[in-house]
Amino acid sequence: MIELGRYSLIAALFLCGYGILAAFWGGYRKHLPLVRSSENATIATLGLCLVSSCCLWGLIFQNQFQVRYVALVSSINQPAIYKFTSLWGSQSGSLLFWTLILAAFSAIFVFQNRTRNRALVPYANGILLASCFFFLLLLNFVAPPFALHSPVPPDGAGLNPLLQNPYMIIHPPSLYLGLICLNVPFAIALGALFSGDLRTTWVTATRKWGVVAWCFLTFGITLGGMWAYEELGWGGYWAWDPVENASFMPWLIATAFLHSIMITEKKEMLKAWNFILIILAFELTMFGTFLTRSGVIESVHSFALSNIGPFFVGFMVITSLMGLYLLTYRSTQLQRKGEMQSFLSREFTFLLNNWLFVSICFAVFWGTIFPVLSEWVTGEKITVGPPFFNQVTAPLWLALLILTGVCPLIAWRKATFKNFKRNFIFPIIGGLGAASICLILGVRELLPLMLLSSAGFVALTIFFEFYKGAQARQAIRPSAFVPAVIDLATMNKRRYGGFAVHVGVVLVFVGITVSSFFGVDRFFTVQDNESFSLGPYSMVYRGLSERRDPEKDVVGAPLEISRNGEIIGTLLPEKHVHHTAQDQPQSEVAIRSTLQDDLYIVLSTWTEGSATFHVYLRPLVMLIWIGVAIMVLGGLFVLVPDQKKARAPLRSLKKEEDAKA
Amino acid sequence: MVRPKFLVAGGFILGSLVFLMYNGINDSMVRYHEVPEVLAQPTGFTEARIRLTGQVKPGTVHLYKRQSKVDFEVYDQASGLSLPVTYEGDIPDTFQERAEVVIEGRYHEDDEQFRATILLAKCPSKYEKIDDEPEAVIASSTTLNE
Amino acid sequence: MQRPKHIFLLLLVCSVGFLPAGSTVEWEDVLNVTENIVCTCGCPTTLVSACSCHRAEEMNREVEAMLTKGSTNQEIYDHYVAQFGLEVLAAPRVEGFNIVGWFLPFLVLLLGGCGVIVGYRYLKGDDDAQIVTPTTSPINEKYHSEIQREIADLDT
Repeated sequence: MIELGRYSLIAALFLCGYGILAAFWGGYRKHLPLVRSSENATIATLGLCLVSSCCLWGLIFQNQFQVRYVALVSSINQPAIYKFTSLWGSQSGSLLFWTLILAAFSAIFVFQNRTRNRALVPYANGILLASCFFFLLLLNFVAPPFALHSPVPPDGAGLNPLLQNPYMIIHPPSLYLGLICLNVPFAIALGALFSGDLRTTWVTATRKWGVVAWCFLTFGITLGGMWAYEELGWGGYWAWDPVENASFMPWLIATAFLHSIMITEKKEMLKAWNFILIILAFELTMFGTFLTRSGVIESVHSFALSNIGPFFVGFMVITSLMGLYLLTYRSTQLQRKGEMQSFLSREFTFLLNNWLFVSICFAVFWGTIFPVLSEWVTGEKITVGPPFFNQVTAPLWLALLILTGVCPLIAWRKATFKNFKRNFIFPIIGGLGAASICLILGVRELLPLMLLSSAGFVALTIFFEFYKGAQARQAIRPSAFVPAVIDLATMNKRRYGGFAVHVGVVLVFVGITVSSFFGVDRFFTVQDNESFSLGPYSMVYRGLSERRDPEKDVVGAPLEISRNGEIIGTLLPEKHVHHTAQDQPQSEVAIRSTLQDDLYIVLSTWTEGSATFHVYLRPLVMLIWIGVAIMVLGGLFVLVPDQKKARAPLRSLKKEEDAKA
Repeated sequence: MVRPKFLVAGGFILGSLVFLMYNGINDSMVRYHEVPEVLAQPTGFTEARIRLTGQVKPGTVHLYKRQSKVDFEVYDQASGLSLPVTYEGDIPDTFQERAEVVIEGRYHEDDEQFRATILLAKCPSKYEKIDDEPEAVIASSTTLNE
Repeated sequence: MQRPKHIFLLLLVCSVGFLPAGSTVEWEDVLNVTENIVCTCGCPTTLVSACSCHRAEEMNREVEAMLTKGSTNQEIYDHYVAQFGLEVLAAPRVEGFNIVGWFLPFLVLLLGGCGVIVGYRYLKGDDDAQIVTPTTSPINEKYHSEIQREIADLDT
């Protein structure tokens, strides 16, 4: 199996190399058999990557510790599910996993476009194959997953017990799916530039893939936040960590891209800008994975900790140069066809949207690399942490939130000021109403006040969009309100799916604002049977409970919880000490989550007869997760294809058009 | 048919790719080795300087703060083997038990130790965070020779 | 009879020395400080307010003690910087090279704003006769939505 795995990777490398040449030459010479051959190469590459991955999985499950990677990430007694996830547990395996997903997306792209977009497909395929080629180079020469070592250890090191939790199963894959998926719109964009076919067909193709990538990314990033919240025990979900930022930056640019692509689709403007955005999104993906793998942020010098760093830098430089070069080469064909009428237009709000997202992305990027830069310049080590990121980006987030509400109220092209005012009346009242409620409830700080009022404003604009639309629908075809809304949304999935996403966004903003500004936390040191309270909750400490698992010692501190005097249950914060990691006690946080608030308790230290707890009370945390779920569902709704019946005449037209191309 | 602009750009791109790959491979492939390799054939690593990666083995750290010296064992997770290392120089803040380190140096036959001239340490990932302070952790296993 | 009175007054005056110095310190005040310093327990940068390790507990107590004694936030930061270096601050001080760190994002924002204005001027055409405006009257609403839907259908 080791040889099979290894040779599959070598074969895949050669096949990719061939595929790149066939794709570009076939596309250039419009030689269909060659192009088809390159597409087959893509599918074959997927097959080979799958074979290789299955070999590695097989070796892991068979405890073949003569393979160095298996000995690193697995052990005999490791639960089966974590043996499965250990494929992506460390460097070479995760690279193989990445390549597998990349090949899969490439094959899907090729299959999906076997009869359309024929002008750009050869080049796009070539780009995807080039990406696969890069990773296969790494897999074959720099970080081979099937490398052997001797002497063969009797048991493997195994996955760090702190990583053995359900999040390890879903967070990395979903994040990878999102990041890798961005490869495809990038390839399509470059394919369009290569082929010179710059009609709007490439726009539609990139948009759909972009939405898929965005949904996966949103989901993956949020899972990371939930993991941090539940497992790391510091009461928060986002630390502005370099690794977190690494996946957040592509998300910001992808969101900007999805918005600005709408202008290009409707008005044929900003084409060059869209290209820049998608190239930037892709490069940030590569940069993100480079950041995470090379450890360059921890220290200027730890760049050397992995030999993989220089390769990634090289790949990023080459792909960016290629993209920029193509852009200038085709610049004359990217001239705008549409024009912007007025700054009081939806197009302009989209421009502002892009401006804000890109600025936030730069702030995050800058804050992430600044410690390294500063150390290089001044020699002093500094920390750029949450205070920097929160203070610098807060006004931008606020502006973005307000813009979310303003945008749907302004028409395309040009809105008259009179109608602008008319549309704004109710939402502004809504915003002021939200502000008053906040003031009544005791909110005095400016930032949360503004954020929450804006949230109210946006919520009302979205509500009115649905309401007016449903009313108009009911006028044509009488029905109850809810069916009218469903009908309305199904008739225009992109518009109302987008609004649904914005609803999710509002919930997330409210959840983050309230849980951050109105959360409280305290340390409590208590004796046996002593009670303590935070907010409406009181807790009684009843002494320690200890038990010994086969893999770990567990110390628990059961607490009886009451809320407003009524007993509601027991929470059990614990500390786990794994036998294989004796000096790394792991906190098992006890959380009681309701829609209203989260009671979050960490067992800090304990002695004979007393214990210290760190208790957090965070309101509306659930709203964040619910908001994200709505965002992702809204995104997926946008992707649902329309009824085939209504599209028949248009589709046959498209087929003709594509056949000519 | 093929514009000269294309050729120049293409040549430049290919050239940089080759250069970077050569540099990267040169730097890493030739010099990076594994702990088991050194243990299997220590005499083969006394001449040229090599790089090793591994973890700082808990319970093996002897820190001599005043002399800027530290002795420890570098532990290779995959094979379970460890190699004694001695290092003189600036000790990075991130150096602690279980930290991933990169050491560069040579094997010395006379004292059967790997003598490192470069020591770089990386934090364990956020998800593998050590709960207690490193000073306490190292103190429990070191002899502080002032 | 004078002596006992004097002694009593003396005792009263002395007892003032046993009153606690300064006002009571609120948890929010402690939080204001601990949110800006980094815990020295582990590698991954965690704010003291967010860390649950043993060291963070100690630091919380230290900060509370210093605030009770009347130290200002700045003095507390300086105290830790003297002990652990500038790294212990969660965000860099605004001095020297760090000024670039703090202000470059705003500069980029401004430049971007200029870019938007320039881009808008570049993209702006002549005034068109066609002006599509949303209305709120019910009949127009109905046709407006109908038209919007048909346009959207053609576009997608």
